[in-house]
Amino acid sequence: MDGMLLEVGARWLHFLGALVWIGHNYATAVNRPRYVPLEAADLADPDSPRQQELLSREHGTFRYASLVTLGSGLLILWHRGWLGGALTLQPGLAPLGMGMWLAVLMVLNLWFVLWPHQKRVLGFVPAPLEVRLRASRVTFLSARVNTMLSIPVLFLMGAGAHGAALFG
Amino acid sequence: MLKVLDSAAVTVVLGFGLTALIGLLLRLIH
Repeated sequence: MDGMLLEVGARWLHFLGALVWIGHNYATAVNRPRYVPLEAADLADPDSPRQQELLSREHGTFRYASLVTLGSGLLILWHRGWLGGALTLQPGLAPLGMGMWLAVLMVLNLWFVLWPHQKRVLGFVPAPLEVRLRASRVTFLSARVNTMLSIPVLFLMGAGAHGAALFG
Repeated sequence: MLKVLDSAAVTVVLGFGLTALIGLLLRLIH
């Protein structure tokens, strides 16, 4: 019973975390379907509407949601004794394992590519204006790469339980 | 090359393409 409660709780957190995290990416894709580059004037003035808009969207929720998603996913696999098999893409667990590896890549991309650059864009880390403008392009591309990767990851999450039938 | 990601629609299409490729890869390795 306790084990089942742990797993149901972890699955719930896994879905919730994924929705908050990737929902953020999808909302951006819908609201801003085409790339609109930041101008020097946007960043030079901390009160510019564009910079204020960027700051208002910087709340960290989606970054921490990524950790909740990954942590709960690993907990479910470990709890079922599937972690090793998924990590090594064993038959039957390969779809989940592949999804997990892609998700790890997404979390690394978010924390080690997007976030350090975003800190420069927002001025949390001092940097010259040209560097901040370049960083804003990197943050955009990094987020788009995660949006793209989320599509196969969601498929593999969904295929997880029935993946063996599909992929042997 | 990453310029293609400027469009959200192209990003989604690439995501579907990647899904198909990964599916194929999984069938090949098992």
